Amino acid sequence: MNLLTTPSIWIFLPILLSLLLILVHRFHKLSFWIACLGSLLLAVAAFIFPQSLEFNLFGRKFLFDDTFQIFNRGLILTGSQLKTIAMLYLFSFLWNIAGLHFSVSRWFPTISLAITALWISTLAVKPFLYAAVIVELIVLISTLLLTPRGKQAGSGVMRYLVSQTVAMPLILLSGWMVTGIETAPSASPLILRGTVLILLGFSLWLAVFPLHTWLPMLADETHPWVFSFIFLMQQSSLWLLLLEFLDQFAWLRNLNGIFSVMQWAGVLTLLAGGVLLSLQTRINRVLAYLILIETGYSVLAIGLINQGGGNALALSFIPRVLAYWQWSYTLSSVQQIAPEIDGSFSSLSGLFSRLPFHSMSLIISLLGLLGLPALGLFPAKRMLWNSIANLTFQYTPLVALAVAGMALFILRMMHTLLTPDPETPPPALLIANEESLLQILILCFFTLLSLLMGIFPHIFLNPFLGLLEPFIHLLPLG
Amino acid sequence: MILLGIVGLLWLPSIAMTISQAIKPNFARSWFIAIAGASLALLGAFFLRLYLPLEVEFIRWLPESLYHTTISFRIDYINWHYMLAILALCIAVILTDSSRASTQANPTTWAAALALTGLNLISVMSKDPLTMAISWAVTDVVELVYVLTFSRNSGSTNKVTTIYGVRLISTFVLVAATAVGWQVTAGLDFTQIPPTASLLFLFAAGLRLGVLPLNFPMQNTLELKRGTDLLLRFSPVASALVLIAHLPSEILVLNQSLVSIISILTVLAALYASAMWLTRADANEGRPYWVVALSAFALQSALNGQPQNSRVWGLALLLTGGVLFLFDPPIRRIRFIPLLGLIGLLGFPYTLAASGWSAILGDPVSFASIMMILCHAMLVGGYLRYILEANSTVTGLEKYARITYPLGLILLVQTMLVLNLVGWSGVLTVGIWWGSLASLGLVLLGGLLTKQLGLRLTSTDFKEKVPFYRLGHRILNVLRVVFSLDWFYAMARWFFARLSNAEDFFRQVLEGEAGVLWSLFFLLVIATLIYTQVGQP
Amino acid sequence: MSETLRTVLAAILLLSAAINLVRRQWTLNIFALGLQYVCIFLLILEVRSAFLAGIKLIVGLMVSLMLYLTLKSSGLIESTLLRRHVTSGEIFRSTIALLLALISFLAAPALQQSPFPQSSQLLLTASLGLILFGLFQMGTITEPLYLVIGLLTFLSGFELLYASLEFSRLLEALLTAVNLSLALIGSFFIVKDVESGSE
Repeated sequence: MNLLTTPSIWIFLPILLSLLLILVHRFHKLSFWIACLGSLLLAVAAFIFPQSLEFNLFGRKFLFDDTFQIFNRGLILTGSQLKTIAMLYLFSFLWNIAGLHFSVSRWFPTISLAITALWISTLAVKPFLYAAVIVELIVLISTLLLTPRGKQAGSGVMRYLVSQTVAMPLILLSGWMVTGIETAPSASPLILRGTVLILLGFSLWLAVFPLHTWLPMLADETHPWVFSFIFLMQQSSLWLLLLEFLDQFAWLRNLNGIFSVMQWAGVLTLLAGGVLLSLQTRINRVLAYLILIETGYSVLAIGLINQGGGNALALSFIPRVLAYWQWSYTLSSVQQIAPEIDGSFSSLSGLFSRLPFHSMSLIISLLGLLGLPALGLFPAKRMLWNSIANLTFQYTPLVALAVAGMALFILRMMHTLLTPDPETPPPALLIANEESLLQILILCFFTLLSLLMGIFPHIFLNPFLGLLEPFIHLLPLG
Repeated sequence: MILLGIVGLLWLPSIAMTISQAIKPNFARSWFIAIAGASLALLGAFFLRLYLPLEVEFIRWLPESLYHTTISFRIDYINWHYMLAILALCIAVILTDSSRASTQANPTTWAAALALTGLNLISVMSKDPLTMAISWAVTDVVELVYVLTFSRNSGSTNKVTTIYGVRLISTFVLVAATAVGWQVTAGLDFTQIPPTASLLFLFAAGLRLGVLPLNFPMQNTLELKRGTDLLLRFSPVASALVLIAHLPSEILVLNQSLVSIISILTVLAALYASAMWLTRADANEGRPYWVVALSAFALQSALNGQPQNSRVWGLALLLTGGVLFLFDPPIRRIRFIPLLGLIGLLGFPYTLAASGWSAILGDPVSFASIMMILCHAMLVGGYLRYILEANSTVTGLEKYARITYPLGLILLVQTMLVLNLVGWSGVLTVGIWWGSLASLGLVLLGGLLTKQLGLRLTSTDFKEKVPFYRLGHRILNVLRVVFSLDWFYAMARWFFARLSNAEDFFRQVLEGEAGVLWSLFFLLVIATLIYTQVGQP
Repeated sequence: MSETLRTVLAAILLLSAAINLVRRQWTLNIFALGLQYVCIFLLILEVRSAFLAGIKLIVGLMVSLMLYLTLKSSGLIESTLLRRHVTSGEIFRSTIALLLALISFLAAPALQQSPFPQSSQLLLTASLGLILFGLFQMGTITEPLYLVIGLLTFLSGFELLYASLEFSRLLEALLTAVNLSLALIGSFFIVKDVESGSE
């Protein structure tokens, strides 16, 4: 068995590391630091690794194989996928480095590393339909983190489990159903059935409207730090998996109306997310609706793949991560500093006078996700807005309504944060200087980073256009 | 790079002041740094007049085929004078700030003034709508942080949110307008705005100015009066005015009835705002109405197909308004200085505003034109009233303030005079001379009547003395209720509450016991929809 | 194996799934789950070798055992012989179970025609029945044990169907891991329920 393969480094090694972490999970700090360092090293390695998978070290030539054979099937990680790998391990690093400060499960480092490796294996496994079963495994492992310490498993996590489990057979069956029918006419019943199964499977996985109901339930029950990590990984990897499906199945991407259906699904999800967010009264649920909105944008981007949507998708990955990170970090930190905040909007009243930097950070991360010019997500969202304005008038009012809904929520939230609760004691009685210098610096740094990405996307975001490189059939021009 | 150098002349002193104050606070040193930086910037901007038009490309987002975007700046005959006006206003603010006992003049606010002026210059100099949208967004956030830092008064938070909300919407309308414009020319700049997108651009500017729909984003907050806050309130207005001046003159070729409706709304806004301006207790209370009224003038110019001439009303808003609002304390002995400020508003032949008459009166003269003359008269009347009512005899002014205070006001008047001479080609024009004459006639008539009847707004028998007072008061009240938009907010709140109830109901159903079965039902519906939509020829 | 015996096996299989759907008596449910896996093992012999089918049996029994031991250690097991009155809920669920079994029986021939011509009608009836029972169970209850039983039933139905369509060692291994993880999660949920209840 050849161990000098890319899957050995980026799948088996981290899984091994996470197994080792089980042994030291009681040493909270140590396991976090090991996970951080491991993720960072793997991310950096993937980033600097030559695409040819060949390099010289100390006069010796090393040639890595991109295939690892297992049970007569392959795990293949090509040079063009290295950027994706780097990105996913970067997420793991970002969430582990700050996770240390929050009261999340002590299994977080172990499981986060394992989950990252498994998500990479979903992109590597051939035939890629088997990724469905790996996704199910990831879901099962994730539930350990999603159930808060000392509490019963809530109905949100149960729904999550059900919805993701139902998706798996749909994907597997679709693959079997359309094996070897590349030459069949596009309107063949088999192709139609296969398409329906794939789209239903992905709708369940991605929580597309109206199959999203478990998402806010789960967000309400779970620690924001854990929730953001699990669903950031899930969203990011599943979009790439969907692109893989479209890339590999010519019958799927050539089917009449397939992209139009995706555009509608994206727009409606976006609309539902925007409207529902505007009505929110519980702060923990907000991230769920933000995820729903971003899912909408991404599905829309994939639907607009022939109009440049792929670029918008690739450009949005990193700024979205930063915005999620900033939101969940700030929220977790607020909940840590002020445990009396019960998640309702009214409990956040007047928070600005107590935690000004945290309050501003919450608002700025939301503005970033809204697509405010000058912030990180603007270049990608602007591309999508321009594309839909060019394409058809039907989507424009719906997307505008979604953006308005989100903007309304931001203003409501701003109003709540700025308006003191008449029942709380005046500011002089509250503990002063509750925000540490480190926290302030971190929040300012991420705001600045988002600003830099928004103003210099060609420097910060262009490298991530490489995420589209593996999809040579879907995007022949790269 | 000279354009960015000017911004640097504002930002570097701002940073220097902040650092020097943190290390070793010194009031005089900070004041000197602020004045020196701003003056150098003003001088630099003035010299730019020799090289107009001037362009600088700051950042190009590559690859070109992907982004079609450059962050670039351009100074031409449309925005150069706005640049000059903002810089003059900044210096005037710092010069006059130290004479006011009511506000706490301190180096931190000057540093903020310089930084904000720099940011607003970026907006004013924008070459294309996208650069402007980016600069609007940054300026708004910085301003928000500034306001929240300096205003810890709980009563004003509502206003802060409303102001920011209006700005946010206007930024997104600008982005939407750009998206529409890009359908004609990808990566368009201000010289390429197609008529199809011009109404959206107009709406974005109108919203920011508080005219379309009428809103008063410049409402005074208790702790932010005069001084630096004037910059805070006026500078965003300047960039919106620049946007109006950039619009194509073919705006009328669009849907005529839509343009007429917008025109009616603009005239109404101008009428209401100028009437309110005339009848306020003092200039400070009337400030939001001054901004809205003159912004409406600028919008009307664009609607009449002369967007470039909107600049004279914009300059009147900033410079004439600047002189009046910085005239605090209103010292009786020097009230001739703000009176000189009227040069920028009256529109006499060969004065700065002369070319503005044809823009607001339109061709041919209509009922709207007469209304605009009436509005103008009310604005002039109010301006005169506030100056003539000034009766302060301040004696405790510091020695240096006796020089700097009038100097600040004179600087603004001088800027008007300079622009009157070299602002743009054709600035020295006769214009529609009878417009200013009619307006002045109305003011004199009003003045005579007031004197004849012995009217004073503050006197107890005011109501009895004014003919048709009750009718006028009622009309104004109705307009106030309509334009306050409180009815709209109440309706929106009602709708929001109903929507919230509906959402709550559906949430309970979908997240309740039968939630999974609902999901399965939706799954079937989606499957059916996909079956009917996909694969059809 | 004769057709009659296979039909009886399919009937027992559906009956044990129906017991899990209808009756809320934990020991009985675990026993029914185990029986379900035995029937699947015997039915799957139609398309798989005894060795490969045996893996499914062992995994199924391990899953049942894990759940049983968790319940036992948590002190939640009550006697199977304990008699309880039949509730209206149980009557309702029995009716639904009958309806679902009928749907499976009636839909199987159509499914065999297209898109699963290579699967036998009996196998299709059994797998569809399990899938439907599992779905209904998941849709109507949130108690961890029953939810996990529902998920396992659903997955068993799918595995039964997929076994007649395709064979891959990697997939088998992955599905085994999924089944075991699901049992682990079920145990985890049960323990958490007990722990938080006792606090």
